[in-house]
Amino acid sequence: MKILVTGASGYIGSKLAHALAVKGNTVHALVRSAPSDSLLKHPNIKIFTGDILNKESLAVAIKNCKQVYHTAGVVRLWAKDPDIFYQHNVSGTQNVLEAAWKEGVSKFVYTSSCGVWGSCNDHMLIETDPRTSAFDNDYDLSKFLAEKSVKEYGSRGLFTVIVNPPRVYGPGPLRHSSGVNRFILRLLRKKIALLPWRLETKANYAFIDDVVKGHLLAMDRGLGGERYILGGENISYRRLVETVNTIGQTKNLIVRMPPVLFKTIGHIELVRGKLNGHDPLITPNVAKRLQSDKMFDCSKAIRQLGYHITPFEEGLTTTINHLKNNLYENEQP
Amino acid sequence: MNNPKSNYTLITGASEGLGKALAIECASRRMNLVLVALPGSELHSLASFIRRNYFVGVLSIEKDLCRDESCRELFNEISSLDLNINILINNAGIGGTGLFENGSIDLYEKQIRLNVLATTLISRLFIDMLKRNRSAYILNVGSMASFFCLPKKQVYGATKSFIYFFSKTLRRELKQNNIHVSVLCPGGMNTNPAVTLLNKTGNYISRLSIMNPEEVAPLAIDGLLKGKPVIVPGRMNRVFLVLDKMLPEKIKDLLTGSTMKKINPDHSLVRYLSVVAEPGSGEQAIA
Repeated sequence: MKILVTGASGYIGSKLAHALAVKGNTVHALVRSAPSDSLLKHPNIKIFTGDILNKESLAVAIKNCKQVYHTAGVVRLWAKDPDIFYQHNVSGTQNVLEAAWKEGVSKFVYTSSCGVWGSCNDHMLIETDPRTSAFDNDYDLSKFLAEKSVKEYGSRGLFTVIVNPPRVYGPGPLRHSSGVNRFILRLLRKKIALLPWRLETKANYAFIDDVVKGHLLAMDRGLGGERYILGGENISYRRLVETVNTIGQTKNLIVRMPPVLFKTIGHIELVRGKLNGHDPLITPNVAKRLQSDKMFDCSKAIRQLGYHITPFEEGLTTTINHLKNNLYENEQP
Repeated sequence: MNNPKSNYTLITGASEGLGKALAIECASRRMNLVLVALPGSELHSLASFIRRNYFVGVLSIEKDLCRDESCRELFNEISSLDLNINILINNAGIGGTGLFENGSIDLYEKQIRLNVLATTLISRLFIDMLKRNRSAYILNVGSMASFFCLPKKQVYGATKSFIYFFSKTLRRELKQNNIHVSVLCPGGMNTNPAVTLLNKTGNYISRLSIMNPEEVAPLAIDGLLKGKPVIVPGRMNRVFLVLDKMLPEKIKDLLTGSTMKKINPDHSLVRYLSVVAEPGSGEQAIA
């Protein structure tokens, strides 16, 4: 079967393209520029250079495809021009939906994010829960608007399923969207771990292989119009660092950052970012997000899709081995 | 009483924005809730979220309070269930920004019906029930627009001044019955996705004063339970109020004239409004 994967050079997209290709599908991999490395090398992967903002390139890539995985999107903590979140994540998604509608594809899986819920206080959130805090950043809002657009096409008759991954870790290319991998890498290399003050702050960490399989399951068994949280275990910063230290045989001195300091550094970095255009290490908003709980419950995906969660220790062992074996590659920014 | 009824807090307009934040705040303070919002809103999912996580009683009722029969039905439903309302939060309201000549008659009618009439009717209907408590509370949601004559917010501002005077007067009347009436006057808030988008298009000063509902809600409930007559959340908003008392009219007009050109229709984000707002509603987003 011919299947379109947008964002095919991305963290989730590239792994997904391979998983589909290995199963014998012909993958139409939409990328903005053809990757020079072996990232998408597979006889079943056909590379289409284009852009979700360019409708003509989409029409070419989607030709004869029966299914669409729309994973492309801007996943960043910050952008000098916040418009890019809306252009790519909202208008881009609308373009892909429109192309899918015109092509008459049978199923459409959209990769959203757990960001649509924001923080959770001390509760585990499920798919039907409302967002309890205002949209305090452009990424979350853009993904929410994109979901709205997906639902709108769903109500027109396009078979759509939305998947919501949380923070994702595991072997794969280092991208903006693999922040957890970069954090683990830093723990392996540096002696000091800077962490939010409350070490018991918990977030959900999903193993990349689970997330990729979850996409395939959502396409296979997902109910139209539904969304599924494709997560992992809810882990505190303390447990994250301790587990990395045990598996990676490293030792980190944990330095807890008081919220005020965290925020101040965020403000300084933000000014720096605005002045010279470099990505700030942290922004006040990101500091706030890192200091709030983001726990999720994946029971629905487990029940309805047969989704599987790799135990955190197991996933982390694979990840650390990968990161250590690819240290040279990871030296590059 | 041998068999006291459970106390409930009634919150109107609870499905989104400030109402949702107030519901969660009250639940976190162990209050049982009666939540009211428009049919078709996400009220029931909010109710089940609160039940699952806060272990309080939650009754959700879908009603369009623009219809005065709905206000009566609401009262009858609650009475027939034998629930005792000891805190009433009149939060439901319709906002909007735009020149008077561009707004529809329908919108203005709805604004007045919901912001003014529903608040008055519901307060009147529940007054006897509230009186039966040893002490009870009414929180009405006004706005910073209760104080200023803001261009593009004529009808809205007028309905909110009604709320302000109504609340302060009612407070004096009901003092002897131990019913504490407060009026909450928040500035701009990121109440829902459409308004959040619009708020991003404003200038620096107006963006600085924008608050999130989850920041306002705890201040509102704190102020209410302390019996404050007027609750103005946020430092920026309080600065605006002080300036209001100090500056001559001419200068105030100049200031509010420029800061309240909040919405820039040429802003690139405005086109994404169509994803969340009704087609054609443009500037008149519902707050």
